[in-house]
Amino acid sequence: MFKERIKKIYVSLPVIRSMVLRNQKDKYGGTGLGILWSVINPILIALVITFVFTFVMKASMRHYPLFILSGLLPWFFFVNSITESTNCMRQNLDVLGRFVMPKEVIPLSVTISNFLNFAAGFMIILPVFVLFKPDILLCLLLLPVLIFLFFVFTLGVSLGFSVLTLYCKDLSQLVSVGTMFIFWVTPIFYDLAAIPVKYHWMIYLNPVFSYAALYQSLLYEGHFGSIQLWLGAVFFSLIGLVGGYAFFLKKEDEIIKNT
Amino acid sequence: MALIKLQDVGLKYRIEFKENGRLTHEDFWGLRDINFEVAQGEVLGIIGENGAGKSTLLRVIGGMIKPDRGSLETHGRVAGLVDLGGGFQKDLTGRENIFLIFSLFGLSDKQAQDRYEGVVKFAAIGRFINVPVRCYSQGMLMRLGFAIAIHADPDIFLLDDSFVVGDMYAQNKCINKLFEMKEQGKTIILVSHDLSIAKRMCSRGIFLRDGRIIKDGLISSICDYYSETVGDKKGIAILEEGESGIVFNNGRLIIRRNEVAITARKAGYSVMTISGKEYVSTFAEWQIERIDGPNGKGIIATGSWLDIPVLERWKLFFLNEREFVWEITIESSEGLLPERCQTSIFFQDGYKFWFTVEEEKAFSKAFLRGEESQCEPVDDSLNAVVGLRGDKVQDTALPVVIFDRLSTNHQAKCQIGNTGSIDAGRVLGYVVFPDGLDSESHSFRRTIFHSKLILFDSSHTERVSEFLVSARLLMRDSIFINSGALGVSCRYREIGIYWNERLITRNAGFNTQFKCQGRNYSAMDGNWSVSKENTREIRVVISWDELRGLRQIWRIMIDNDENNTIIWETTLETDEEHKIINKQAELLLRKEYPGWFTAEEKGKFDRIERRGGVVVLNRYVNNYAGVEGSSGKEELFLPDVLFSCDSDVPIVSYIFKDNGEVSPGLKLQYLEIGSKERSRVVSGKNRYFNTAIRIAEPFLRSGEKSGKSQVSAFSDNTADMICHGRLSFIFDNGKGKIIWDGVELTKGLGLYSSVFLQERWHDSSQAYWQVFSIDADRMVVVGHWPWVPMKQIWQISLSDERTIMINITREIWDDEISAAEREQIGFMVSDKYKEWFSPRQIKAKFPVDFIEHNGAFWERLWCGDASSCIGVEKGLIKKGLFKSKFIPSLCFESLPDCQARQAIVENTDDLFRARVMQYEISPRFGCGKGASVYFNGKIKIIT
Repeated sequence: MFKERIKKIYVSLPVIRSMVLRNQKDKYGGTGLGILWSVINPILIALVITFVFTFVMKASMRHYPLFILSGLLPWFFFVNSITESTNCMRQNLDVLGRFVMPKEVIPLSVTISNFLNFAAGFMIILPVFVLFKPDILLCLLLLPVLIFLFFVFTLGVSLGFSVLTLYCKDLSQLVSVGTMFIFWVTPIFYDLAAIPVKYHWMIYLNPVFSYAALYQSLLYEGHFGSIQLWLGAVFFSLIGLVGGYAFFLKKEDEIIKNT
Repeated sequence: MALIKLQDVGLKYRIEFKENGRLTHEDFWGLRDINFEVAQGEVLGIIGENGAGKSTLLRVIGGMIKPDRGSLETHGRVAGLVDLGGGFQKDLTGRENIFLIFSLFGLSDKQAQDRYEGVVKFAAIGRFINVPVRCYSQGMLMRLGFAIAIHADPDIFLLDDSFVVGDMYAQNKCINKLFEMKEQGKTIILVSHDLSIAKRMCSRGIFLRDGRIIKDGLISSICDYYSETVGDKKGIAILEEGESGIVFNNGRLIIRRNEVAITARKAGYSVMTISGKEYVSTFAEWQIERIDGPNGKGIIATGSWLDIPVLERWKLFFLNEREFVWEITIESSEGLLPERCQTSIFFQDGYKFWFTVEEEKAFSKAFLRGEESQCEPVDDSLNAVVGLRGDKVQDTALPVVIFDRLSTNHQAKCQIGNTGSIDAGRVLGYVVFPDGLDSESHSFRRTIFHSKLILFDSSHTERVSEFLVSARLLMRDSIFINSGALGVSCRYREIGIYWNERLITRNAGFNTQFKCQGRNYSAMDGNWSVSKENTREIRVVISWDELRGLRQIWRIMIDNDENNTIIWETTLETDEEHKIINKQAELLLRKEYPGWFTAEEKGKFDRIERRGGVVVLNRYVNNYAGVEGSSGKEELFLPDVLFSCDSDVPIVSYIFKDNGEVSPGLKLQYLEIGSKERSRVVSGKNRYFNTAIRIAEPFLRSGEKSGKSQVSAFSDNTADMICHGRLSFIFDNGKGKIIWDGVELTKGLGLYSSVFLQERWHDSSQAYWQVFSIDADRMVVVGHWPWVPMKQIWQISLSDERTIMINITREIWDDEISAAEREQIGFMVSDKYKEWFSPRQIKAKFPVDFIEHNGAFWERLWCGDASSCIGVEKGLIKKGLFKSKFIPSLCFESLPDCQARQAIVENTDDLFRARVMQYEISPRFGCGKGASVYFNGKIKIIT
């Protein structure tokens, strides 16, 4: 059964491709810079944060913008994906009600299209990281693994959220508040060291933390990262995908009826 | 093998209710117990009202929604739903959408690439293919969606019929393509509101209501069931008799025979044109009551519209299994009679031939493209019997239909035709132009259409031809009497007089009218039974549903001695006593007659200005009226007609010309002036009218005077005079004239009375007067009014040379009318009088000029207390060049017992150019119970 499902999704690859194209057009169609915005956006935010923390709050960290960017790019991918997937079923009801297809194609294409934005941005910014810290080159070997794990995790959450909104109509609002909260409790623009050790357990509970920390250590510190972090990343990826997808499969019949 | 199989399928929705701030959930079954199978190559139509669950069912079949209960099996590739909108992504270009939708249909990239060109060609999008589809028109989207769907080439098609939009060409292209798919053996499931498409496409149908399958069967029976039962449930009635059935559904008449509806689409309906606006029966609000008619069970459906006070009443009942009656009656409280009433029945296109009693022809094969509900007429003759015959080679033989218009009292013509290609049916119908209303009353009830539908089985050809032969006989000469050049025919409710084979009457020919229980009855609206008594006599018995036990019997005889005279004797027979007023008898003649005459006068019709409506040319107490024929060219030749009435009671003759466009013509009418005694119709036989119609070619060109000697023309004894010394009083048909010393002091109407009754003014000069007694200085005259039940007795006496005593009593002899609304006595005197005076010795001069005559009120100079006299003085007449002479002043006084309310002094308009002294009398209620004082007063002459 599961195999059949995968096969169906595979058959729907052209659909996913078209949907991704549609999403991209939705987002950047008609803008002058197009997909470049997916880089410009985090860079600008990183600069603002740098300004605030360096000159206003007197934080001192070398290449502070790079530190922020290393965590901020994946963070944007994650946030955009789950935000968009909370509304994706409603937006595509027209298609869902007319055609027979595996419904996970919709959140999947949302995740993929955000991933593409992320990847494009990453490609542009990566040489900068290497320029400032050439010894991260070795660490880049592990980067694809991390990206894969993070993608799987994001996909799982997206799948879950895409059906969860059927039961919790306020989810899209909760997501915008929740991501904000997670953003601040995740050491993206501050170092974990800035937090008292007795509160570290809270940070570890945050599923995004392990990914953010790994990105920072691979890209900024030139360190392979601790084994705990990697285990955490694998663990959350598995939990996210299995949990999200299981929940999705359980509730997918309700999608057309209740949206 | 079943391609699709649904078993006990149910679908549940959870609905949130927010009521009084409390949130509750309720489960709602959108689909319940759905069981059916669709085989390979089958075309299934799903039919139902909005919200019946049609589209949901389609989505369940398609697999987009999983049922909550039951199971669904499909074999083969299901295409997505094809409908308007088509799941396009509006920001993608046409090209990208094609690939997206192809991929959604499950096609691989290669397949999509291969079919791309075909789609673009079929959809005829052109350069727009690279433009985002948000710039597309509805038609382009529809074409593109449809093109993608058919090129995706699925095994099972799911169609939502709203896909049919766009221009005719594109629509037809799509429909034709669908038929192609059907030919190829594709399985199609079609959701439709449009029965005509469903009927043409599908072989089988499913009727859904409230999520359940109500009926599953042949598409024709499903469509019939749908059109019969859908709509407001209260406006539906079903009548069945043997193998025949009729369904009345809110102004629609559906006819079934052997379980097959022979009507199509709109079926039977009526369109009424009132004041230029069309009122279609299907838009009316209907109420139904069942009746047990004398000839079987039936219904009476009453339809009303919001914006017009007219009721349309349909009476439908079976006479037997093969015949039923359809009658339309119009009722209005405000005198609104339709100018035109069209009754049409749409029949199946399986009918290939139409016929009348004269001929039979085939319908043209092609329907006019598009033209929704238009009727392409093939025949619009005056036939009253039209019919349809089905194709003889067809398996399900359609019965032969005959639509027989029974009532021909209004001008009508038949309509046989084809509809447009959307309806694709045959039309049988009639257009009726109801006659104008002659009655003075505003509320009426009138049968304007009366017909019979007859269904013969197609095998009974000999019975059909038998019927047609008898119908032909009936039309021509079944009831026909003749002698010499004169002939009289009776066909349905029309009596025609023929002279040398030429019809000289029009429409009904003969008619009678009367008023009973406050309502006007016309022979045209009654139930007729006609029989031929012998070779010279036709007998007609007319009865009315509302007047039980009352019959009018007409004997129409050709005179034994004179072959140019028809005697028309009418009597009323009744079982119980009735009160009948305004008895009338009418003769309706062709419009070509140039002139008219009475005993005293004659005139031409063509002098009358060409304006619409009915014009009264002559109106007089008289029993002798006729029309003058024309002896010109052969084809215009018409004989003279004299319509005389033998009566010992006063009657008024009217000569009308109807300039209306519908049934122009002439009418000679007699009206009996009523009285209390004459209005009573006691049980047994009562005389109604005895008239004679004489027709002659050289008629009375020379003998006009001889006719005069036979009649007691009223004008012979017009004026009656009483004298006292120098004073004389002349009574002339309700006008009292006063002469002093050889000079007339009055003018115009003189002394007259004027009564406002039943919404009209009635002057004494309009009444029929008889002298009761006359002495040297005293007279008693009695007047009867036509149209209103009123009688006045005037007693005039000259008590001395200078005083005229006036005593008037009146009687309204119809108990139902309690009193006149206004009563006046007027005294119109010469304009030589220059001043007037009033009770308190007010004096004033009359204005020199008279206001222009425009039908408005007269110029009132003074009005006030009626307790003492009003008068005129300073009357000066010229005698020769330098000599002038005063005429005596007049004083008009009302005596206290007549309860005059006010006295009025007026100048008339420039029509009469006279002075008027008038008393307004307080109307007295209850005066209908007997005679009472109307006016008591005197006129004094002051020298």
